[in-house]
Amino acid sequence: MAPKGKSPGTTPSKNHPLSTPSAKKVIEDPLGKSIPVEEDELPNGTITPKVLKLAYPLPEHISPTTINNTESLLRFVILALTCGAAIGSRLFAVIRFESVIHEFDPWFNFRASKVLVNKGFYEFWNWFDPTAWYPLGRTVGTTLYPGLMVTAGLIWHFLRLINMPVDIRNVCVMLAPGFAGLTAWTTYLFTKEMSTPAAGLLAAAFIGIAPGYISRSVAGSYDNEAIAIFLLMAAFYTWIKAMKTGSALWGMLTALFYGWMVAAWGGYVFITNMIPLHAFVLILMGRFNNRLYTAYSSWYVIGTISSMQVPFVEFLPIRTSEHMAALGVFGLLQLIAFVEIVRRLVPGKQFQLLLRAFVVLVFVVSFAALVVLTFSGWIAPFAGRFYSLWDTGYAKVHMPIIASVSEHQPTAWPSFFFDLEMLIFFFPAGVFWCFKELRDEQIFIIIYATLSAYFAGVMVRLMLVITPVVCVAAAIAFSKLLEAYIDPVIPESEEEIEEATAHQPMSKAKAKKIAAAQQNKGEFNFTGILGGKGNKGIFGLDTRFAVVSVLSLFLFLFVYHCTWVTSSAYSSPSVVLASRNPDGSQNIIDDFREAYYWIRQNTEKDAVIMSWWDYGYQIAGMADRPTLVDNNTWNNTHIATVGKAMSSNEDVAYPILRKHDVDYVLVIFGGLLGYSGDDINKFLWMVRIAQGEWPDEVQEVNYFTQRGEYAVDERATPTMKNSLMYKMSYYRFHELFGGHPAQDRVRGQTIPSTGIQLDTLDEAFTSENWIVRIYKVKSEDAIGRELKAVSSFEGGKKLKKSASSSAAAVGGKKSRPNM
Amino acid sequence: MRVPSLLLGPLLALIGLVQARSSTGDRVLVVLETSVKKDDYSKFWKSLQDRGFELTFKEPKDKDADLVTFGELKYDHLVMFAPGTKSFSPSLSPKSILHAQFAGLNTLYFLSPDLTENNKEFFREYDIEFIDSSNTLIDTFSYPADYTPSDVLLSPSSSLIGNGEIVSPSTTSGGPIIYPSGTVFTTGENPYLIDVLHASKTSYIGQNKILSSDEAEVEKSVSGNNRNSREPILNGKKASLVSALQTRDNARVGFVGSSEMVKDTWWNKEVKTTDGKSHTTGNAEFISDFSKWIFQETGVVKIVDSTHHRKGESEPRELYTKKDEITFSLTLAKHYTTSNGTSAWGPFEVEDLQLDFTMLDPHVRTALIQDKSAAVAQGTNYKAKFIAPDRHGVFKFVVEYWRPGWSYIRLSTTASVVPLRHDEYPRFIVGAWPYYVGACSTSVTFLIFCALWVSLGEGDRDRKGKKKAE
Repeated sequence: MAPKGKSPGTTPSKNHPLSTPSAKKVIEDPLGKSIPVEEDELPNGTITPKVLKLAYPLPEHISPTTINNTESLLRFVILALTCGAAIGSRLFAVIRFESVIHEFDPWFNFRASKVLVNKGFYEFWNWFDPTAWYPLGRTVGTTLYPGLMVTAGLIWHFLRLINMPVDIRNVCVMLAPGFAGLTAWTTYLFTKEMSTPAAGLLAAAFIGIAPGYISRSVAGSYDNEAIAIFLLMAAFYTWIKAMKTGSALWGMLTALFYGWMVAAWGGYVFITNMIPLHAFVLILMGRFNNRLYTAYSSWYVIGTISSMQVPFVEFLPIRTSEHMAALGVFGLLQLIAFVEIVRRLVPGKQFQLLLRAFVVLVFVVSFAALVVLTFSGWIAPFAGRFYSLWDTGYAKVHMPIIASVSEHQPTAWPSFFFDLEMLIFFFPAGVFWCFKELRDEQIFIIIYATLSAYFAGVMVRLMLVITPVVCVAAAIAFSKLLEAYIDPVIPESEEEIEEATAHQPMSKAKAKKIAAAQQNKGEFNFTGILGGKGNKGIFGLDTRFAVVSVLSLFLFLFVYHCTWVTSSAYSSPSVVLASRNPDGSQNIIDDFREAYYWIRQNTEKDAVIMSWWDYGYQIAGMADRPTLVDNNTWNNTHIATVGKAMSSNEDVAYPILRKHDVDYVLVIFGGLLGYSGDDINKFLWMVRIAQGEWPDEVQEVNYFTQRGEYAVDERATPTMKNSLMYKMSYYRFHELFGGHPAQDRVRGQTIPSTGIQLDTLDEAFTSENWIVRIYKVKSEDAIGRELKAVSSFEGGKKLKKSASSSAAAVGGKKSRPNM
Repeated sequence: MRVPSLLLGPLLALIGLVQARSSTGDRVLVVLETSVKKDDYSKFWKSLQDRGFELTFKEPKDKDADLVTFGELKYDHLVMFAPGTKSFSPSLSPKSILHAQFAGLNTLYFLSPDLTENNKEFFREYDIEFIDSSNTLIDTFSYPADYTPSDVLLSPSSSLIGNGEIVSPSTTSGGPIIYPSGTVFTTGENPYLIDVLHASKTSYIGQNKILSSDEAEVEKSVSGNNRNSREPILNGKKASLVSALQTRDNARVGFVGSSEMVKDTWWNKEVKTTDGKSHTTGNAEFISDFSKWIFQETGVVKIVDSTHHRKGESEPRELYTKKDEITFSLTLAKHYTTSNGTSAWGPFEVEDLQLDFTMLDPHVRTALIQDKSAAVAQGTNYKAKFIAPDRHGVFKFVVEYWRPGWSYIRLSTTASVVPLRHDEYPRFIVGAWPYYVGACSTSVTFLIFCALWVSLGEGDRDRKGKKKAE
C-alpha cells in the first residue's frame, strides 16, 4: 500500500546535500513507532566508494536491493501503524461512553444521512424539512454540503454489498477516524513531495495524533471537517503532483478531490484561493512554465464545473468575489501562455514589450470589469464571514450570530500549544527550510503556512486548517535535524582537507571554531548542518547522542501530550457528560438524552419546541420534533425573534410564542450542577442578537447592573429578573435548597428566594440534574382572562375588581383575541 | 362519541319517546340552595324535562355533587341556583366549576340581589361586575299594575338582543318580560361575553323600599358626601340583566340576574301594564330560548369534515408545490331541533366564511363559497380554490368563523409548500437556447480543432521535437 515514491536517497540531489541514504533509513523507525530509539543496530548498507570516517560502525555487505526492499517494507509497516494509531487514538469517546453522535452539527448530519440511506438520493436532494425553522421550513437538499452524507451513504451501501449490514449510525460514528487514517496517508504523500519520505512518515505520524485535528475528528464527531481535511490534503498533494509533472491527469485528480471537497465543506474556499495564489506567486517569481499551465488549467476547468454540480454551490464560482481570484489567475495564465507562444514565434524586443504591456492592460481591464460587476451587484461581494476574517471586531458589531459561536472567537495563545505542542516550535524551522530550498512545491508550503497561520489566529475553528501544514513543516524540520545527527559520516574538516593528515575526529569545540572562522570570511553563511555544505557535519558521538536523545524525548512528550489532550479534552460527546464521584469512579450525566426522549415520548408529534438555536439539531435528531431555530443559522430574524422571546417579559414573549405555535420551551440550566455552557451564560448573546433586530425593545444595558455587572442574584435588574429566560432557569430553584440560600454554582451567586411566578408557561419537565428544563406554553384562557389573572385565581386570590373595570381606568381596550 | 346517540335520535323519536335535543347531552345537575323552594319553579323544571333533560337536584354543600369523575364530565349541564350561598362544597367551588366548564360543562347561573361576596368575586373572573347587594333594578315607569316598581316590565323588542340564535324572533316580538327584583351587572370588555337582555332607559338602580323621612335625611347627607364618587351610573344598555358567555371551546355559560324570572308566578302570567293593557309575559319563551342556547340546542355548528387536494387529485397531501392549484373544502353542519322533538344535523348556510392560507401571516385569504354540487347528507359544503403562494414553508389552512350566537368555528390544518423538485423545472425554455448553443458550438469547435491538430500535426513533427527540447 505504501506508495514507493522515487527515493531521493539513492541519488542525492543537490537539494539534499545532507541526506544520505543511511541517515534516512535510520530515522524512519522512530517515526513509525512513535518511540525513537537509538538505531545503531539498524541495517545500513551504504557502500562507501571512498573511505569515510564513521561515528559508529555500520554493517557491511548488504546489497542495495536489500536496502531498498527493507526501506519499502518499513515504510509500509510504519504507515500502517500510523494509520492504526490515528484511528485508535480517536476511539476514546466510543470506549468511554458509547457509539453515539456528538455535539450539535453531527446530529443534523446524522439525520440527513438517515434520510439519504432510507429514502434514496433523489429524495435527499429534494428533501424539504418542515420541522426545521418552523414555520419557514428548510429546503435541506439544496442548503447543505452533501459530501459527508453521500460519503457515509456510499460506505454504507458498499458494506451492505459485501454482506456486512452495518447500522448507518456506526458508519457515521466511525467515519471520522477512518478518514483520519487516510489523512495520515495523504499527508505522507504530500510531505514526501516536499521533502524526503522520512519527513513524510514523521508528518503522517504527527497529523495522525495532533490534537488540533483530533478535536474535529474523534469517533462520533460526524461533521464536515471529518472528511474535509483528508480531501484538503489529497487535493494539495495531487496539485503538487500535477504542478511538478505537468500532467493533466493529476490536474484532473486535483479537480476531482476539489469537487469532493466542495461537496463536503464550506472551507473549500481555502483551496479555491490557495492554488491560484500559489500559481500567481510562481508567475511573479518568473517560474511560469507549461507544467504549471497544464496543471492549473485542467484543475480550474474541471474543478469549477464539478463544484457547480453541488446544488448548494451552483453558480457561486462565477458569481462571488471569493472565487474571482481563481478565475483571474486562470485568465492570466492563458494570457501569459499566449504571450509566451507569440514571443517564441516573433522575435523582436519592442514587440515583446508591446506584449507585456498587453498582458498588463488586459489584467487591469479585467480587474476593473470585476470591480464594476461587483458594484453593479452581478458578482456578490464578499460574505460577512469573510470580512470577519480580516477584522475580528466586524462580526461582533454586524453579525452577533457569528460572533456568538465560541469557535468563531480569536484563538488564544495557549491553544496553539495545547493543540500542537512542540510542533508549533518546529513549524517555523520547517518553513525556513522551505525558504532555503525554495522549490516550486515548497513555495506552496510557505504560502499555506503564512495564510493559515493568520487564519488560525483569527478563528479558533481554523486551527484545523493550520494543523496539516504545521505537521508537514515540523516534520521537515524534525527530519532534517535527525538526519544530520544520525548520519554516521564524520566530515573532513578544512584543515584535514588541506593537510590531509586527519587521524582523529575533531572535537566539538574545534568544529565550532572553524565554523566561526568561516562565518567571518565574508557573506553570511550558516555553520554546521545549516550551512548545507558537504564537508559540514557532526563530529563526535556525544553530540549525536545528546541531540538525538533530546529529540526522542520531545517525541515521547508529544505522544504523551497528544494522548492526554485527546482523552481529556476532545473525547467528550457533549451530549453525554461525565463527572467523577468522590471515590474516583465515573458518573455519567445523561440529562440531555433524558429530556429529549421525554419530549419524544410525551408530546404530540407536531408539538413545536422553542429553544436557543444551539439545541435545534439535537432536538430534531433525538426528540424528532419541529424547532423554531437550529444550528443552521441562516435566518437572523428568526433567531432574533427567539432571542426576543427569551429576553423579554412574559407579556411580550407570550404573543410571540403563540404566533409561532410554540408548544414547549426548552432551556438549558447548569446552575445546579455547575455546567457552564448553559443558557444564562449564553443569554447576553440572545439579547444582543434580538437588539440587532429590535433596538428599541431590547437593550443590552438593561441586563447589567448599574455597576456593569452581569448578575443573577438580588442585584439583577428588573429587566433581567422578568425575562423569560431568567424565570425559566430559576423557576422553583430555591425550593431545592430547603430554606438555605439557593446557590447558582456556575455564576457563584445566590438566587433570591422570592418565588418566581410563571403565568404563561407550565413547568412540564426538569431533568435529573436540572440541566434541561422544559415548559409547556399555556393556551389562551377559555373565558378570556389574562393569563396572569388565571394564575392568581388558581393561586386562590380573589378579584376585588373585574378585569375591565381596572382596564378601563387605564384606558385599555381589549381587542378580539387571537383564536 | 355522541354520534351513535345522534343517529339513534330520530329512530327513538319515531317510537314516541322524549328525546334530548341538546347536541352535547341531557344530564343536568341543578344546585338549589336551601332557601329556594324547588316547587316554586316547577314549571321551569317541567319545561326542561319536557325537552328531554334528566334533572338531578343537589344542594351547594352536598359532598357528592362531583361535576367531573375520573376526568370525565358527570353532567353535561349545570343550573346554579345558589346566589346566596356563602360556601360551597369543594366539588362545586368556583375553581371546580370553572375547570368543568373548560371541559365542556354548560352552566346557567340564576342570580339575585342577595348575591354573596364570594359569588361576586367568582363572577369577576368572567369580567362581570355586580352592583351592591340589596340594590335592585327599579323602573317606576314600567311595571305591572298591582306590583312594585322593582318588578320591572321590559319590552322584548327594545331590551332583547337581536340575535336570532339566542333568542328566537317570536320571543323578541312576543309579550313583555318581567324582571322581578333582579340584580344588575356590567359585562366588561371580555369579547367572549354576549349581552342578551339589558335594562330600559327609564330604569334605575336603587333599594326597593320606601324611605322614612329620617332615613331620607341620612341618605341625602351620605350621598351628598359621595357626590364626586366615580361610581358609574348604570342605565340602559350598559345595565345588563341577562348575559351569556361562550368559551373558546364552545362551552356556554348564562347569567340571569333575577332568579324570580323563572318562578311559576311569572310563567305565562297575564299582567296589566300601567297603561292598563293586558299581556301575557314572555318569560317562559325567553327562558326557554335562552336555556336552549345555553344547553347547546340552538346555535350549534360543527365541522363535519375538511379536506384539501391538488388539482386533478382527490387525496390531501402533506406537501404541495409552489404555485399548485389547491382546493380546500369544508363541510359544516348545524344542529336542528325539529318540532316533533327530535334533533338532527342539517345545512348551515352563510355567506361570509373565509379561508386563510397562513404562514405567520396570511399569504392567501379567500372566500369559502358554498358548493351546491357536492352532495352532503347532513351539512353544507364550502369550497375555495386558490394558487399556492410562491413561498416555501409550513402553511396552515385556517378557518375562523366567530359570530355571536354561533359556535366558534376554528380549524387549522397544516400542509407544507415546497419548491419544485429537481426534475420538475421546465426544460428547453427559450431563454436557455444561448447556453445550449454555446455548449454545443464549443464542443463541436473543440472536436474540429482536435481533428485539425491531429491531421496537421504530422507535418509539424520537427517543430514539436524542437519544443520538447526547449
